[in-house]
Formats: sequence, structure tokens, C-alpha cells
Amino acid sequence: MTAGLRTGATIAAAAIIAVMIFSISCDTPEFDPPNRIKSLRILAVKSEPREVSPGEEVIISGLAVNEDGTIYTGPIAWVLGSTGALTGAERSEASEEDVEGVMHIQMTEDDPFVYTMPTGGEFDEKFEEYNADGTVLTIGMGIGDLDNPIMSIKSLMVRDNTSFENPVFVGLDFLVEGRYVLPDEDGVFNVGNTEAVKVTANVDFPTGDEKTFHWFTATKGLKEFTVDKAIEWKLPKESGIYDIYCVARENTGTQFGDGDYNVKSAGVDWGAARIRVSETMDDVIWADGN
Amino acid sequence: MNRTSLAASIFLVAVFCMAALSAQNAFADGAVSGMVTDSEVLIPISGVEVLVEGTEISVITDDEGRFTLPEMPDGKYKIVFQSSQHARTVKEVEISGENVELDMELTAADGAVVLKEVSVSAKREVVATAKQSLKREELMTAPGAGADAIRVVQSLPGVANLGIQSYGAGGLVIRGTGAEDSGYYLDGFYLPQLFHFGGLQTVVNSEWIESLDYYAGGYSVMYGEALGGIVEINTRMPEDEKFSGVVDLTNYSSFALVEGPFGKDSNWSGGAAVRRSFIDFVLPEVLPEDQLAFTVVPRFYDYQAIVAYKPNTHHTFKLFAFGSDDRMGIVSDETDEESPTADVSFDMELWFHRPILSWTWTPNPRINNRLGISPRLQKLYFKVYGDKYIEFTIKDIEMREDFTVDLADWNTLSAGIVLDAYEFDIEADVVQPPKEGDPSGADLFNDVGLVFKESIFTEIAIAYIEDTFELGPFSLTPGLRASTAFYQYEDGSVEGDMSAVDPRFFARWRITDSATLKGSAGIYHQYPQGDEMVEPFGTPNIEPEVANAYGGGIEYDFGEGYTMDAQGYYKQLIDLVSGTESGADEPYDNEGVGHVYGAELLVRKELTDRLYGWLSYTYSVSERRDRPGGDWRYFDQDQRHNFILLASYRIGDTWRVGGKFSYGTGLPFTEIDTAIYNADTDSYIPIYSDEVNEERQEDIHQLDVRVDKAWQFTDWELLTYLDVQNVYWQKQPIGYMYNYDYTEKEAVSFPSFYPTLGISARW
Repeated sequence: MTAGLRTGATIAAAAIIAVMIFSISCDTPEFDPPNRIKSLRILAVKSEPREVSPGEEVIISGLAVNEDGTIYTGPIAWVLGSTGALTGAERSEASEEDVEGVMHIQMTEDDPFVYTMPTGGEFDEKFEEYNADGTVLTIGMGIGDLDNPIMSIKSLMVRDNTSFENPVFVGLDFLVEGRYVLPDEDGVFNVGNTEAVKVTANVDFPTGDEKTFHWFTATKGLKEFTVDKAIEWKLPKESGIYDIYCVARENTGTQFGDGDYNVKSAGVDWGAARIRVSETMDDVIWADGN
Repeated sequence: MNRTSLAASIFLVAVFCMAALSAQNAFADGAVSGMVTDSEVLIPISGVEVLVEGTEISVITDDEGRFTLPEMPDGKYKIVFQSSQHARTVKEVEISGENVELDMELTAADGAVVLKEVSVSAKREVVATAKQSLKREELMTAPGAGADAIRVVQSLPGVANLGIQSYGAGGLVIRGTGAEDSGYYLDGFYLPQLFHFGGLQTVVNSEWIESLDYYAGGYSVMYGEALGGIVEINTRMPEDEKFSGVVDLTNYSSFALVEGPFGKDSNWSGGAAVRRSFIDFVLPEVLPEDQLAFTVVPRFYDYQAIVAYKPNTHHTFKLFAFGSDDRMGIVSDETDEESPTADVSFDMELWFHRPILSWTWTPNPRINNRLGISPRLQKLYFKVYGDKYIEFTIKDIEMREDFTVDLADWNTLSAGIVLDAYEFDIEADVVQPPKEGDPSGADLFNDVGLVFKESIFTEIAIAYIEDTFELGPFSLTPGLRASTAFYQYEDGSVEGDMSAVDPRFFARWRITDSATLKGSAGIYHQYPQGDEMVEPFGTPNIEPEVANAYGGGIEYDFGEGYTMDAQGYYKQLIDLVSGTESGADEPYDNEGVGHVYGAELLVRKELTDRLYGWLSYTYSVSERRDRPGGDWRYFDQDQRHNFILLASYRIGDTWRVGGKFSYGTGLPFTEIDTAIYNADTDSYIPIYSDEVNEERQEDIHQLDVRVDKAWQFTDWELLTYLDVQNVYWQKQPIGYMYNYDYTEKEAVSFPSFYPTLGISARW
């Protein structure tokens, strides 16, 4: 008897299907949504410019928050390396040897990771053999406990003819009861005792149209899983100051010369704002002046 | 193997047929004696009275259906064969100084209650003699199986109890090897798909099953290309006496079956059945609107059609065509705006068609020859998230010849040839499928898909020979199976060949009338899966995987239907297809190794008057080492303990109640140590522990109950049953679900029981 070359993938596909059926049928756990900040975490990593050529300077920065939703200002460890840039699987298997490259410890906001991309043989020696159509490097960012750091990675496209740029975050607009509000002299938007505000991200996208917006706060009340540029935020009843963050991404992939890969090295920028919830609407600064 | 050797193999088939003819002549002589068999199932009948009309000569057939009449003067005689279960048959013979060999096949008596046995044989180690049959009534009424014969096999030793996860296994996990490592056959040909949707229901309607052979391991050289076990379904002949049929309705599917002779006293008969699930009709009516957008609804068809021609008792021609069609998709095509992805579309289709044309020739009870040919067309298409997809198309034609002859009372020879020409087409834009033991899996959202289209052509030739010697209390069976395969890509860029030689040996020693010792040793090769050989998924020139298996045990007959079968086994696995180190040129090589060892116990009460049941216990350890010098890990579906207690009792003439309790050790999984945030995609990449499969899910246990009730009418009967799996709602572990950054996890389980309510009308 022979099975010929049997299709184990048939069975694998059946298993995937069954898991999907059961996943839908089962009572799934109730976890907090990703947009709720509960712990020290990284929200975004950005290189400026988004794509870089050899010999050009690139500034690498990140957005991290504390468990209470305030901005993290502690030290950051940066690595720029060559390995594990293409697939998640490869990234997860990267060893310490693999991620050797360029390191930088950022102690304050005024000390970002600034790096001039080497050229020629120096690039090859530092990272990997340079492909003028596109060489993908990996940025690594680490914060918190050095023994068990919070880590993030991001792809950085290096090539001769760069074409994609980062989005540019202009600001966040707050609409309370159908009217725009302005920040006070401390930059805080007073929203009074309203139940919800509508927040809109003002972002320019010089290139690409694969736009997403991810929103984060330490409070409950943000609509889950949305990637829209505007969001309704149901506010806490307790008076106080609350932070909200929006990370804008442009996800158009980068086609290599041979057409083999479509690398998603996202363009990134972010905006942040503070609001003040109070017992009355007295301190609200309406944009229309009334 | 090239085309010249294929032609040579075809020639060998012809030689086998000629050998069968020669053997028939060799047995033409003999005394006034012979063997009586059942015309339908061709098994010997004991207890048949054989008398010579007009005389007082009368004998009874023995356990092997044999009889010998005393010598009689020359002349013509009418020999009468009669029993309570078979039609009285008269055969005229002429004696003219020579002994006469007279083999008879009897047909069932009109009005007799003939139990068409469907058998599951736990034929481990020795094919011919270690058979344990389950009667049709057992198969169709076993609690927890939903009137699905193959599901009953899941209650036998050697098969892992995966709980609710068995519905996604796609087959049976037998003796510590994956579902894809076992062979599933129907009438000798590869069964392309065992279950609908990986486990919902067997694709072949149980009504057609005559016997079902289950080999946990140590199987005959008749079978091969499987490291695990073998399940073979043998279909029955259609009803040839009268028109009959079945209409069956359950809460998730329904089928209709008709069969009968093609005219009065015709040698032709046939039948057909079609089944369809109707979950897709029901779910949209019962689910709330807000759940519809995310609900995938399966629907399946299967069909079987059979035509048989039996010109005489020696020749049977049968065409059994069957197929299956599974589809699944989103009930609502509306994209949910709250979805994390822009497109939640999902589409899947899986279908096959396989007709089998066979000719069985039994010139006398000592010879059996079967020649079959079967084409196959199979397709799998799976698409998700709008653009990720994979599509397999398989075109295949297979021919096999099996020949068995009793060379002497103490010697039975079996031999056969299989020829298979096979085209495997694959087209994909999807990530590399994970291998067993790889906990990371594929991330369809973020990983870069492999885009390719490729075809492989394969020709396989197999020959086997096996000889059983019955020497007093000993039974010795040496066998040899040899195979060779030639393959090439459509564009000719890759070609190669593989070959395997599998010697196997089985022995039995009947110590007493009640106790038999048994043992086996053998080599089992398994060719790589199709996708493992296709670039860029796989490596073109990988080699077959190998199992060196050894087993031994004892069978004991306590009498009154109580039997015991205890076994131990060790299986060494070498040349396993294994993922290479990251960055290697080829994704797979043959550097994996493994071993499986364990013990199995089956204590059984065979169905006699009212009660049947069994106690099954399996102890198993299955480990793998994927890379040389690497750490050993447990097999993904390693299950240390598996205990099943099953019993069913008939109350009066129309009621039957039964229950099944099962307990199994939780399956292994790999813990996630941490996760890295992917700032390009706003997602987290889990980092799995180096200690693969060191953690265990919760143990699996459940109780199934079943109640059957029958109503008998003049020309038909009505059967109903309620089969409830997991009556005490024990949560069945499926796995773990993590929060977005893998810092929290909760066990995911299937919370509810699974009832099957069936009603069936038969005439």
C-alpha cells in the first residue's frame, strides 16, 4: 500500500480549521485590550529619516510609557544590527552573536541615538553585504530591568534610492460636546466633566497611503482595536490628569529589486496629549471662544 | 525508478496472476471433502450439516468450515448443505474412482437474521491471527462514537486520547507518531482524507463498512509507508437479494442510502449513498446577529456509489466510487470595523474523488487474488486574510495486486505489487508551515509569505511477500517489502529517486489453549510528505524516514467472551525530516531522531447476548531530538497515560444503554518566556522557552453515554439514539490563549457537551 507523497499539510490545514472553529466556539478569556497601558511598555520606535542611504545620518528614537500612563524618561539601550530583519521567526531565533552591530545607551531625551550609516566596505563589515536595492537592518530598543528588559524591534531600510518618508504628526484635536477645545498654558486640554471626548489625530503623510492610528491610555474607555484617525474616549469619572498617545504608521511595503520580498518598514510618528477631567466645565477653553 | 522498470513491474503483476492460476490447478485433486464458506463475506462456516441425499451419511463442518465425507462407490450423488442461517443448497457430484474436492459457498437463508459483521481488528504484530473483531452492533452503538465506526478505533489501545483536540488532528495519533504518520486505506487504496474537517465525521459512510482493521504497530508487509499505525476500511458488497435502504437524520447531518439487485436473479447489484451536513443551515438561524460576522460555518458532502457484478462464486467485480467535499467560509461577508485586520475573509475547500475498480478471484477457499485500479483527484484550497493562500492538487492513479494462497495446511503465502503514478501540484503565498515540535508557528499577519508554484511527478513501485508457517504451537511469519520511487519537478530542475527495503518478522507461540505469546521486529519506511519536498517550503532530495520497531505481548482467553491482550513495544525513529538551523540553504534535512516506547492493555468482553465492552490502558513515551547534539523533547502529542472504560448493555429486545469514561494525560506545550514588540506592525513576537514541550496541559477526562431504542415493523425498522459526549461538561483543554504582549495567559477549553441525536429508518 502506498500513500504516495502524502499531504501532511492537508492534515495541518484541517487542524488550523478546527482550531479556528473551536476558537470561535469557545469562551475566550477576557484580557485587557492592547490600547490600555498597564505596565512599562514601548509604544513606538522611529528612525528619521524613514529610509537612509550610506553616508547619511539617522536619528533613532522611541516612545515608551510607565505603568501609570506617563511618558518614560529613563535610560534606553539601542542596538542597530543586521540579523533577523525579515521574518518574525528569524527574529525570535536571533542569538547574541547575531545582534552585534552598533550600540548606544540613551540616558536622557537630549541624548538620542544618532548614527551615520557607513559606506562601502565599512558597511559590509559592520552589518552585512550591502545591497543597493535594499538592505534591511534591525533596530533594537530596550528599557527597564537590564536582566529582563522590555524590548522592541523595528526594521530600517538602507538603500541608494530612498523613497518613503515618515508621517508628520501635527497634533491632537479634542472635540467636547461637538466643540473643539484648546489647551491651557501648560498644554493640558481641560475637558470638564463631560462623559466622552472625540480625539482626532492630525497627521501629514508625505508618502504612502497604508495609514493606521493606534491609540493608548492608562484608563479604560478607549474603543478597542480601532485603527481610525479619530476615536471616542469615554473619560474616567474621577477628576485628574490623564494622558493619551497616538502612533501613526504608514505601512506601504518596500519591494526589492528582484521582487522577492515586500518588507514592511513602517513610517512612524506619534503624538501625545494631556487632558484634565474636573467637576465642572468652567475651565474648558473652547476653540470658538464662547 | 524509470518507466522501463514500471513496465517490468506490470509484467510481475501478470506473473502473479499466472501463479494464481497454477495454484488453482495444484489444488484441483482431493478426497470427497472441501470447505464451506459464506458467499457474501467468504469466511468459513462451521456447524453446517453436509449429508448425502438418500443415504444416512452426514457430517458437520469443523471450525475451519471443512468437511470430509466417507468413501462412496462410483456414481452420482446429491450432496446437501444445510444450516439454520443459510439457504439449503444441493450440489450433484460424480465419483468415478477418484476423490472429489467440493468447496461450497452458501447464501443467507431467507428471513434469517444475518449479522453482517463489521470488524475492527487490533491486529498488532501478526496480521493473520491476532484479530479481535467488533461486531457491527458494537461499532454502530459504541458510546461516544456517534455511530461512526472509525471513531470507535479511538477507544482502542495505542490511539492517543486528544479530547476535543482530536477534532483537529486530521487522523489518529497512534503509538507516539503524528496523524500524518499513519496510513488510512479503503479497499487497499489510500484514503485521501479520513475525517471531514479534520475530525468531525468519517468521510466514508459506516453503512458500507464490512470490516475495519486497525494496526497499532508491527503491521504486515502488506502495508507500508507509515511510521505509525494503519487503519484499513474494507467495504461490503451491496445487497443482492432485495431492494433496501436507509434514511438517517442527526442533528448535524443526514444521509440516504439505497441498494439492491439490478433485476430479479441478476448477477448485478449496486447502491448509492449521499450525506450532507446542515450546520450551515442551522447556525445562521440560531446565532445572534453580532456573532455572525466572525462565524465560520462548515458544510460537507460525501457520497459513495457501488456497482458489483458476481457472475459466479469465484469472481467478483466491484466498482466503489466515493468522494467528499468540505467547504467553509465566513457566514457574513461584512468586514467588521472593529477587527484588528482590514480583512477577516476566510475560505477553505477540501475535496476528493476516488473510484476503485477491483476484481476478486477466489477459485477455491485456499486462494484469493485481488486486482484493483484506482485514480484519484484531490484538492485543498485554503485562503485567509484576503491574500494568503495555499492550494494543493493531487492527481494519482494506483494499481495493486494482492495474492494469497494456502500452499499447505501449515503454510500460507501472500504477495503483492503496488504501482502508483502521482502528480502533486502546489501553489502558495503563505508562510512556511511549522513542523512538529516547533512551538512558534506561523504569523500570517506579519511573516513574509513564500510565493511559488510547483509540480512534482512521482512514480512508485512496491512489491511484498510474506509467508506464514504454522508449526505446531508456533506461527512464524517472515516478510519483505521493497519499494522504489522516482520523482522530478515539472520543469526538470530537480529529479531523484528513493528506495526502501523493509524486512519484518512475526512470531506467535500458543502456550496453552488460552494463552498465546507473540512478538515482532521490523523496519518501516515512510516517504516524505509532498510539501516537504517542494522548494521553497521543502528540500527536494530529503530521504525517507525510518522506524525500527519491536514488540511483544500475550493474549489470553478467559472464556465466555472475556479476553485480554497485553503488549509492550519499542520504536526507534531515525532520519526524521527536521527543520534546519536558521539561515541554512535548505529548510529540511533528515537529522531528526526519536524513540517511542510503551505498553498497552486491552481487557474485553466481546458481544455475546447483551453485554459488550472493554477496558483499555495505554502507557506511552514519545520523544524527539531535532538536531544532532540537541536536547531531547517530548513529541507534540505525547500522552503518558490513556485509560478508557467502555460498556454497553442491551435491555430487552429494543433498548440499549452504554457509557464510556476516558482519561488521558494532558498534552505537552512550550512555555513563552517573553515577547518582543514589533514596532513596524504593532504586534508582539513571542519568545518560546528552550525547554520545548516541557509543560503539560490539563488532563483530559470525560464521560459519554448513549441510549438506543429500536422499533420493529413488518417491513422496516426505526432506530433512534442519543449519544452525548462529555455529559458532565468537563472543560476540554484546547491550549492557551495569551494577551497581546504574552504576559498573561489563560487555558482555553471547550465548555459544553456534544450531543448527537440520530433517527434512522431501514427497510
